[in-house]
Amino acid sequence: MGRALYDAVPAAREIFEQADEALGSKLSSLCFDGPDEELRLTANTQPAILAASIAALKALEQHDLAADFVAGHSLGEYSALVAAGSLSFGDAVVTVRKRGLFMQEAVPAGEGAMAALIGASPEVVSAICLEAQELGTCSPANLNSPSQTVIAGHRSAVEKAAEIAKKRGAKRAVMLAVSAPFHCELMSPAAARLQPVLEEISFADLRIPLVTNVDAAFITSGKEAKQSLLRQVASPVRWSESVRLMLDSGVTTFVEVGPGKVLSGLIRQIDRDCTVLNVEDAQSLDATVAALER
Amino acid sequence: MLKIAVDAMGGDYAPASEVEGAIEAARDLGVGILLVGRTELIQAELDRHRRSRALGRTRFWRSSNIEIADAREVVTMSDPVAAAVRRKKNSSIRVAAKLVRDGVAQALVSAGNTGAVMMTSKLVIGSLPNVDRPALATVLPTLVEGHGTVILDVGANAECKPSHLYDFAVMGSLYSSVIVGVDNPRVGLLSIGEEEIKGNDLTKEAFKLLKNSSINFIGNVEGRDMYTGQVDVVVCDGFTGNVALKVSEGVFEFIMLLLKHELKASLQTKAGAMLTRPAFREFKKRLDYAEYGGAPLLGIQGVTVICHGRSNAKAIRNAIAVARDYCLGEVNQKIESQLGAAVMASRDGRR
Repeated sequence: MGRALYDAVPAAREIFEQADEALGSKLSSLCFDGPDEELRLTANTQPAILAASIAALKALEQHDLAADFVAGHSLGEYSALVAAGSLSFGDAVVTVRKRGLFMQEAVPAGEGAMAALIGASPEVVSAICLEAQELGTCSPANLNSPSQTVIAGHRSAVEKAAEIAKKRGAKRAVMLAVSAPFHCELMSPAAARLQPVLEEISFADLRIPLVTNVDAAFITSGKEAKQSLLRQVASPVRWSESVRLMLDSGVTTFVEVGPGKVLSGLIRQIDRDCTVLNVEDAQSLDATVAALER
Repeated sequence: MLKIAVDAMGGDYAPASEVEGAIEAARDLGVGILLVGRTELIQAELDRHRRSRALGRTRFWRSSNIEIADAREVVTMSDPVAAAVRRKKNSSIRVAAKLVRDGVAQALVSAGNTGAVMMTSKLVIGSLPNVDRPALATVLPTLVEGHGTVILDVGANAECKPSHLYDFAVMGSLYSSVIVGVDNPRVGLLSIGEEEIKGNDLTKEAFKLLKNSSINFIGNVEGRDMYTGQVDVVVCDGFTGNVALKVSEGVFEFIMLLLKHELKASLQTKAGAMLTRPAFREFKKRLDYAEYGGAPLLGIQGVTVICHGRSNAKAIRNAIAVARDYCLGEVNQKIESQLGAAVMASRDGRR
């Protein structure tokens, strides 16, 4: 992950070097050479994805292409704030390592669960969650697209919700391999522990507006940015509405920055007509730059 | 119209099987075919069929549904994979893969060198996000009708790490639920005993990964469990899977020959054979590899279906049908959608 850009772009290389320095460990070699098992450890997952995303961002920025808005999905909100000049990469990478640990430690292993419900509208999913709540916490966690919502909560309640969803005609209900139930009220202890960490960091006002996960609304002040990062831990990611807001504000082209093309797929599900590009390696960078300069 | 690129130079009987299979597919399946390879050889085969059609031996097909894309080089079965992929830039496999990448065709069907087809697909067409190793999956018939067992990998990756087997389990589960239609598919790890301690280093490590995942993992299964319908997805490395599949085919052919031999032994059994013929035909249909055509390569951005090297025309035709169903079923979109939700959620922390 990130190797090709590390080799090709000096600015991307600097990001991995900064990450190694800030964390005091060799995140870069872990990203490039594995082992996978170690990369999957909670302490490494979030910093690794953040570093790879910002490396891709730096590679893109070499080409003097400026975005009008930014947004990021969950962890991606940190990348988006780095992109908007509100948060330094060094602060971000240290914070997300703690964020990962706090989130995992908020709920004892095995007690929580998440499931993806596919082919059911967010309204239907909300109703299903209400029904399943008799068994424990259960609520929408990622409102990804009009037909894809991830739910989170206590294991029994989430399993119940998945069962009801299938009966109600959802195409699929899949339990997810996650270490804890993210973005639901069970994450409140993690938010409480994250607060003093965020208080220590300075957030500058944003150079360009960001659409927040929690409210699916534009913000521009550093203060709001900090609040947004704090509140998103135990609240649903309103991704579908966030993309819709950008579309309604006249956005016609989206560039997914960082590993994978999942968000590109989601954006296409939300709107078929917009242009979706991505930057994750040298090849996709070239293609995206060529498309944007056209 | 859906257009499918068929590597005409791939199999042991190329281009004869490929061309005949393509003609049948173009006639029966409502798809357009792009035959990729040496134009003169393909054209000669097409002409041969056209002539025999004039003699009334082949039914009419609309030749407009079949086009030729020229590729001069051929990757042979004995070519070393890496070198063939790197050096033979104008091979029929690569040209066909490019047609898929560029959107001219929607799927690639090849009976050629499996390793080369798989590597070329990965390089030219690209793998789905978060898929390290694409895997060949095939659906085995079971006693429970319409409820086949997915087995993967059956030949794309001879050497695997435990994490690859884990990825195969994820993709196999999705394939089972999306294509076969099984709810919450049961996943088994192919080993030499049911107990966790049985197996080699690879399966023991993979066992641990699967046990701690959200996959519906039922533990180790043995070769004999593959056809019982008690497991929906069987996961193994490509070497083991390929051996398992070929042994199955060999046993099937052996039994068919043995039966034929015994049934012809006396007048009495011959009469019996006549009466039971429809049952035998059905039996053969349910087990004959040619009926299943080809195995889709899971985890590729486009659609690649890989066939047996010794595919006959029927196998090629049915492989084209597999490719068509894969496209129409939007399997990749569904896999991406499910993996997508899983990927975004697991970025906060994986189990």
